[in-house]
Amino acid sequence: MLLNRCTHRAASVCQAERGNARSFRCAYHGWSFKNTGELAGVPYADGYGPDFRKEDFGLRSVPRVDSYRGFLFGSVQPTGITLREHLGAPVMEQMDLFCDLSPSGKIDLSAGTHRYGFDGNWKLQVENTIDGYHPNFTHQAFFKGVKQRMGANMTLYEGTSGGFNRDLGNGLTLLDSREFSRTDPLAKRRVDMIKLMAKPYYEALVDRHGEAHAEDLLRFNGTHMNVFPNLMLLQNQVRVVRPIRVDRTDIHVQPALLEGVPDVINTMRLRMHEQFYGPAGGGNPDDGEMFERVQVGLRASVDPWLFIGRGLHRERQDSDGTRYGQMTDELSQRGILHHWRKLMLAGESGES
Amino acid sequence: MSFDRDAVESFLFLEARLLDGMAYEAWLELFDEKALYWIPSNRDHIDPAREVSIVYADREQLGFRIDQLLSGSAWVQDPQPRLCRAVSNIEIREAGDEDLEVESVIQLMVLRRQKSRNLMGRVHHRLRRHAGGFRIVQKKVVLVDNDEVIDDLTFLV
Repeated sequence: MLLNRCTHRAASVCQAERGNARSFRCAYHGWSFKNTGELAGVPYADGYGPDFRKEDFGLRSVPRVDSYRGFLFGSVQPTGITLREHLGAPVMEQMDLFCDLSPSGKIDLSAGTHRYGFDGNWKLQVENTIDGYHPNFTHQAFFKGVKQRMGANMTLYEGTSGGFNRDLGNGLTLLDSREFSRTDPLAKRRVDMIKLMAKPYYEALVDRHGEAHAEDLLRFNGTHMNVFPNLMLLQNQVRVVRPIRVDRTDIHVQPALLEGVPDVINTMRLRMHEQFYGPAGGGNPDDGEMFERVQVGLRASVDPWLFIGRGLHRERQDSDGTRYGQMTDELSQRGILHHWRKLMLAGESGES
Repeated sequence: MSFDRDAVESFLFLEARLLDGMAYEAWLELFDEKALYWIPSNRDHIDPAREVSIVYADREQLGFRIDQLLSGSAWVQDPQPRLCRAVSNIEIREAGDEDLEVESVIQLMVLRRQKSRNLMGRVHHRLRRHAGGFRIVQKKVVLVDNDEVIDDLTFLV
């Protein structure tokens, strides 16, 4: 994972967002690098003294890189906990659910990106992604429309919902609708439709995972999770939150195609994604509006505090030691901010 | 079959006026029952079956979006943005017996809470002659900034 930054005078050496190249040449003074990062050559090399060693001037690399299920993670700290320690088993299990919707276990992110943003702090989007309290209010018009057209109630985000809100540690948080989906009529209807439209897909999942887990994979339909600090996997999308300034955030969302499924399934996933997400989506622009309203409210000096105590009295501990609460509780917001605060207070020496 | 340039221009100007005024129900009436409304994402020409669009909607799905816009709880419309667009560079071609292909350029200013944005793009209309006027069979909007960050486009273009 190389930094796109010439080791001479810091200009970017690659201007393309995607593609392949054998080498990179900085246009400023002509320094060239192999795609391994190694410095290949500098023009008029005699201008540097005898102590100049090309091996000292390769493109810089992120000190630590690791991956899980094809997702690459980089850390700018040379030491600290490992990726697997950061994620932990419950998060890796959720990433498995996300990827294993594909019969080959591979997702494909070549479908393009929605880019949008808001004038507010990045943490507002991170907290919101696993906020099970807001959908029935922020997105009430969308859900009302779905109800009218589908003739079925979306009950996941009601105060009596059987879904859970989980703090998995290290700021990693999850809206857990697995148990809920097993009895949800809307989830059943979606799975029945897939079996009807794309039987070979269903059969391929059964071959690979057995009938019970194949049924679960389709019912769960991915996951709904924050991978602290700024990666989110929800339903069929990979979302990266990009802090630009203290009061400006960009969001890049890539709908994930499934490798090895009939085209009709991937096209359906794209159309469903577009209804709610993207600059013209029926969902996230309203979230962005809320974040901007909050950002303005945060300027108040009279009472600068927010109240995220919902469900504090009913937090429970699961058998693996992690905490969970009811779907609409603010347990996940507390989990994120506790971890963020811990890292900020640890400063330079902190884990990363 | 020849076409009346004034009639085509008047139709595009009417559409622009309806969108500026957020008269979405009247706007939807301009569309054929089997119409397609499309705003590609990332690039101007993509395969919508395997690449994501900003909007790729049939008339039914456009209706769904409009219901939401008019629901009173599309919060990004509260306060409503002020919209004004210019339509220009209109080029018209015959397309078969019934249809016209019309390409135009729009420039749209969006003002909301003191922030103004400028959106620009090429619009491809396929119009079908209908009851002395036209119906939109297909509308594709190729935005200049379809590969850039756009905060809100729910008001449709």
